[in-house]
Amino acid sequence: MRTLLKLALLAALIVATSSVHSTLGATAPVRVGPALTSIGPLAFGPDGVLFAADRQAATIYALNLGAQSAGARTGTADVAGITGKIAAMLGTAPAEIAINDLVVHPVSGNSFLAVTRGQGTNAAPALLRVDGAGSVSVVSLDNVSYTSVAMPNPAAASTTGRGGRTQSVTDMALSNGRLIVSGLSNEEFASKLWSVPYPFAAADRGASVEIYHGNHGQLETRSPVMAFLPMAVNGQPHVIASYTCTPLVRFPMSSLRTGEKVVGTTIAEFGAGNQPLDMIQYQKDGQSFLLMSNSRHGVLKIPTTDFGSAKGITERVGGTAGVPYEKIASMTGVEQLDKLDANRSIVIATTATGDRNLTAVPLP
Amino acid sequence: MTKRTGSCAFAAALLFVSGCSPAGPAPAGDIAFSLEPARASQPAFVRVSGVSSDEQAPQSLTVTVQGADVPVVGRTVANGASLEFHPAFPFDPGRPYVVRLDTSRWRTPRSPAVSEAVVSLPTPAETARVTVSAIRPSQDRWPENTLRFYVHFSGPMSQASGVGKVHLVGEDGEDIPNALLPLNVDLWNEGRTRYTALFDPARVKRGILSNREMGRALVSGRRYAIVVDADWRDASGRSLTSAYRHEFTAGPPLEHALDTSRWRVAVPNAGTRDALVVAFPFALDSALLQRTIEVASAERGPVRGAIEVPTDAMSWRFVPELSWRAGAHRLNIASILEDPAGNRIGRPFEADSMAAATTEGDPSPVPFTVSAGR
Repeated sequence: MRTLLKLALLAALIVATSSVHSTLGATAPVRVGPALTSIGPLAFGPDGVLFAADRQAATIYALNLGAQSAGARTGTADVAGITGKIAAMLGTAPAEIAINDLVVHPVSGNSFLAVTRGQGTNAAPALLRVDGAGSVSVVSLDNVSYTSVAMPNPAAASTTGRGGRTQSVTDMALSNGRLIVSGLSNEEFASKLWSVPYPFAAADRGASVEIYHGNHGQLETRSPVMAFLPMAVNGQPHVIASYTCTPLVRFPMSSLRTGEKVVGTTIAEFGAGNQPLDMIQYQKDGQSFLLMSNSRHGVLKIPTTDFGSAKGITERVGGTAGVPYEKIASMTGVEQLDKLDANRSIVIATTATGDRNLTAVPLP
Repeated sequence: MTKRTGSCAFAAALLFVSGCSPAGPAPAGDIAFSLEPARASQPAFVRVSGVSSDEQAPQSLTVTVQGADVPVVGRTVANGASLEFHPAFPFDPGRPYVVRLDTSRWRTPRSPAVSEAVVSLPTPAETARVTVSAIRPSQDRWPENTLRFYVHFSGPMSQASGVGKVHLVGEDGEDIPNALLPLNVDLWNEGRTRYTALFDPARVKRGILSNREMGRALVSGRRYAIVVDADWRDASGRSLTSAYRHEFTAGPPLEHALDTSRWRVAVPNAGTRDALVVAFPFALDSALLQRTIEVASAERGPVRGAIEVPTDAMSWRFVPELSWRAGAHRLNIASILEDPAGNRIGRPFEADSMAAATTEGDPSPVPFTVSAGR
């Protein structure tokens, strides 16, 4: 997933971050027919603009999908064996297909999938749409208008260039006029959150802050963010983030100022050997919950009520301390997760036979 | 079923034509399928020739991956006496595709009404099989708080991550579970010849739940091996020539900031193009050393030259394009330079939050002077 709910939260987040935002200036030029070299993650803006990260080109695209925002029917219907179906449509074998992300369009309710076709030197990006009839379509980017912004390269010696460094984008969300991007480098153990104003400005490449994890004794370390969600905590805009080392942390959005040290406060820990995948927020029975998918720990349901009051976990606390959570035993093999509507999530999950199904699942 | 050999101009595949049709239509014998090879600006496409212009209903032509039941997405256009199917994504070499022309809705259906052919692009010539060429750090002693290591390959690999392909094995030969981070994000270099593997930082960092429960995956004094499975696919889909094993002993953790005052700089004389050599007390990150140190002259700014990092990453060599000129120089060092445990200049990976600097700016340059020599 990542984002329908993130965006629904924006209205609640319009307060404290104005000091973060820098100049607007001239907006980036609108062009047509983006030539993506890779795709994913994805994130929708509230007006239906689709943000697509192109890791290989170190560029974020904002795509105006126009008429392709919706298929013949609104919503998303289940598609069994979706990897095989996509492979057939793209003229290849299922083993050559990787689904990098899944997001739900905020208006049409159609699901959009970022796909890599081909796992070798022929690898190519593809964007697909699943509509309310379960019809799968390739979204042609030929006539799609877009703006884009280049991601910053870390400082490198001028005589040596970039070398073999690449930057993976782990998550994106639009919050209060800024696109926030988390990533992971294949070289330095970086933990920067980069944010850039949207609409993209021609002369503003955004700002980065280094995120630290500072809850074990007096030690603090850089901590790359795997997944995050803008969320109002105690009425103030915050980022709820999951680090690669699995703690769930919170930090105020207002801390995302250039050059300032941002230290997340741990509010839950989930244990090792795990990769946090996606997070969504939803309401049920008058209560707010976070639903978080993980590579090893499955899908966790976490009430957000205590996110503001939870004391930072310290070294002396044993076990899986922090805010309470519940493992959703019925949701297994979940690789992609987003919120479909008020009552359902949409997931791509592996089956016992190795297939992948796109399925709407009631929110637990 | 009618079976014949067609004019598949570029394919090694057999062609089958089969079908059924009502009595009396025109014969289908003049319809021919071919797979036109890729040219400079145009990927390979399917051509159906022998179709008169009034019959060119694009929807009558479908192409599917053999064995699949969903058509390949693409664009069918009429071109003279041919229909052309241009796939949205290039056809895979060696993969069989079924081309099917259904004339039953034509004004004059052919007999048989449905013609099918199986076409494929030739399988590319075999290239050299890929093998693991090295694992960095190359040392046989790794600090127990190592965060990251690199697997180097002799050729490009597939985009698949190393999850499940790279293992930490203990003295008993068994996999050590939860040692490495199961990351499904792309951590390849641009040519996909180097893969970055991360130890799970939740076990490396002191005080985190996993560290408290399981300790670090590496324990000082014990022997380990990094094992790379042979069934990791290369860019052409083939497995590696063999598994790879790098054995090492875990050593004490490196928990201190890098200290440039402990670097030893061997400075060449002016007038030569001899290498400047910087020796480190510990191995630094072999990849970061390629791009984080710059030589600059106090008077003339950055000095162009070639960087060499030996396999042990214990030193850094710089050979200038032009002869050294006498005078004050410095090494400018980017803040992101790390050792394999994530320690940076002036800041250990696990920093005392009370003592740590609030930000990580670029470290102070390391000065050195090139002498005029004799």
